[in-house]
Amino acid sequence: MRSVDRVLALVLGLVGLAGGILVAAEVVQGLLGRPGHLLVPYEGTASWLRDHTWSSGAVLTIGGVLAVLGLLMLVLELKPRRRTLLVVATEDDDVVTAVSRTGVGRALEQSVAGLSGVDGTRSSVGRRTATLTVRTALRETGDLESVVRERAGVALQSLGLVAAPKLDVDLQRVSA
Amino acid sequence: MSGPAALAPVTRTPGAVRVNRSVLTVLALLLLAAGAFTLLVGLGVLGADQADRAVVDPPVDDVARTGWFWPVVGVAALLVAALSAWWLVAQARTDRLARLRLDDDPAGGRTLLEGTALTRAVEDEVGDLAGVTRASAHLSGTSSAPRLHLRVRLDGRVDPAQVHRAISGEVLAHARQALEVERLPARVELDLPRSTARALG
Repeated sequence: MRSVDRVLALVLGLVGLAGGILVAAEVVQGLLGRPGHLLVPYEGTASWLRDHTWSSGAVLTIGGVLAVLGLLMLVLELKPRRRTLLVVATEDDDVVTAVSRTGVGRALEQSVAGLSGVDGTRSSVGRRTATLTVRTALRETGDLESVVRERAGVALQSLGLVAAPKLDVDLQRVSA
Repeated sequence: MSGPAALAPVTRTPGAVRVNRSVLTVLALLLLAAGAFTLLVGLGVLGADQADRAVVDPPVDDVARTGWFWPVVGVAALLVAALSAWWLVAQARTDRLARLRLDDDPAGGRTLLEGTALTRAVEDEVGDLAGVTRASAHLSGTSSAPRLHLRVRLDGRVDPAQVHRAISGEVLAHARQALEVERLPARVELDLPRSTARALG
């Protein structure tokens, strides 16, 4: 959302700056008694607003669009920022070390990547649960799930997170 | 250790992030208010006769013809332009600390340290650690209370905890020594490599 906000800020800032100066220039033009517009052809808009009532479909549609846009923006701006970094436990209070959730997922995937029978991995890490999905073509998986769980558990533990998410292993059997 | 278990990623422009969020929230409220007002009037909630009036009707035209109206509009437009300019300038402000004042002795003069001199040394030292492929650092805060931000990309062959111990131990000790400070709060973000495992199709 930060990058979307940044783009919106640049676009709206430029529009506000240019629009404000143009409107002020039009006002000065009008106050000097010169007929017509300087740069902004506002006469068409003014006559459209004189021709349409508040209950007309076009005006109601514009109102609806404005309300929905405002509500959407408000919800997005008030939504708390996602905490995508998990903090690593440290004894030094002056140092805060963190690992991204995707980084944690990568560590889990790497820990089981070389295991015999593992044909593919996928991970999804939240604040409470880390799900490691392992694809295998083995017909008889034997103790693969427990080995995967153990390896991934060690990898998760070695990160030393302040609050490590619960590990969830999902073994998916696929045809060879 | 007490503190949050999860954090949002650090930004070099925390001021701009706050300003953007505040300004966009205000704009969202204005849009919502304008839209809701239009719907309330148009649907006759504020009176059926009002709904059948033109958006700009003769009474509105009468207000626009009063002497004070257009000068007020002009001043408001200039105010919008000035606020927009301030908003644009705010985008460029970072929290980066370019120079640090190490000594400020009226008799002996000042000793200044370029922030990049320290951050480059830290980047080099971290980059030389086993298991690190790349490191980038910057300083924020003030000369008397600097903060170090460090982003470290690992190669996945060394335990991240080992890298973390090396950074919070020797690397930060050297940085503190260089800055002649007893405390140097630091934030370290470890970036683990992309998995070498084949992805699911």
